[in-house]
Amino acid sequence: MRCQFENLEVAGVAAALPPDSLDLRSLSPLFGSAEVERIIAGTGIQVVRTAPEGMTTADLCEAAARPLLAELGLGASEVDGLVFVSQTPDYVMPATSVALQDRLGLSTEIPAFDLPYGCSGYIYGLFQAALLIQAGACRTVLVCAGDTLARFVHPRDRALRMVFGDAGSATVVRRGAGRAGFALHSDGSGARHLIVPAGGCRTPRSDATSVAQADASGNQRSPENVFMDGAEIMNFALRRVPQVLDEILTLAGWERTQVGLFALHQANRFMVDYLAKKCRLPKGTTPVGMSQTGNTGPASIPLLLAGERAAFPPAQRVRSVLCGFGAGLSWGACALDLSATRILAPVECPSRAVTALP
Amino acid sequence: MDAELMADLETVMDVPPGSLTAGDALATLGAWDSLTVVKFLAMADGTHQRTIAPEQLRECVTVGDLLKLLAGPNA
Repeated sequence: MRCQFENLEVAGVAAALPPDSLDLRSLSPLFGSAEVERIIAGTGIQVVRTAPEGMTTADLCEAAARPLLAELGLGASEVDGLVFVSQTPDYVMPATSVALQDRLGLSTEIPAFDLPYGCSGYIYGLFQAALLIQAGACRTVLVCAGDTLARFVHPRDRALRMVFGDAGSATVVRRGAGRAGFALHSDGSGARHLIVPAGGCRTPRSDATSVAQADASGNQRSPENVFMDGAEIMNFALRRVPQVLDEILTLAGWERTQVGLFALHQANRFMVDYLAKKCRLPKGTTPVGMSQTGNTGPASIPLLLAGERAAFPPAQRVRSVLCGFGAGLSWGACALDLSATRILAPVECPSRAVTALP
Repeated sequence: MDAELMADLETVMDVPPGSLTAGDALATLGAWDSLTVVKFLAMADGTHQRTIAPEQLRECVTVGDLLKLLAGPNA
């Protein structure tokens, strides 16, 4: 699917990180120092941020949204749509987006949607917001994207424990003078390659699903933990990311050399660097920003924008391309002007922000 | 086996030059893990223009099997 929207702008972006962190070198006694150093050198990830017990994706997104709305001078009554993108919602039911509507004091007149997407999710969230605005249903939509996937990683899964981190984000999309192009794709045949097999209705949690087993590499996990087949995901990214970047550039009518920022999903340094090279993206246009956070799923692109805002000043964001890819399998890209977008520095979500249902 | 392919493989596995032989079992190499697999696929794609399917990789038992994949046709 490819489409272009007129009269749309991203007014602001913010991100929030949890207070806890895991220095990967602290895992040396568990996995061996040489092994830990080898993985750090390969992935570029030194620290993953982790949400403490009780802190959820909604807490992180709220912590990002509050300062963003204040910075933009937006009153609660001016936000008339909410999209929450996450694979780790607060509840099986109700929708976390509706809980966020109340917590942020937004009007009860607004529509609120949950989109259960991961590393491609930010693109899907922006697209949903664009649809609401283009249809005339909303003028100002808050997109909250984040995950606390680290808690789904088995502590003895060396491959994933040193990769996935937690974060939340908030983005305000509103009617404006800009244009945004989207290309989105889905391929459910690859669902098993990146999955938490148990915990839904297909395979409910049970005593059996809680039992961890070691794989051929010695990584332990149970069906209640996240599983990723690295080879399949790499193959998928090698095939699909170049295609979707070509698609979005054609749709926007841009040459690679005209684009100042390619914000790719921050899977790990090796993958981002290799994709940038394979796709012949101009030097200095593809930031890498996960070394102190890990792969934060749907928050990785807004967190990258927040973390790299000084390195990519407004003039360099006139032609920006965002690209997400991951679980589903699903992937997408977006071409838009972020030069007038207010981008805030990442904030830390305080533990006191943790709240239960009223 | 082609010395150049072996050298590329040693680079991907981050092991000293000359330390691998074609008969080495992958299961005994600590460096053959999911990260190395990702780097191997990227090397095959970029340096050797080889598209290797993950199922082909799963069938590899020895270093020699990997070298054959690199030298063989695209998946």
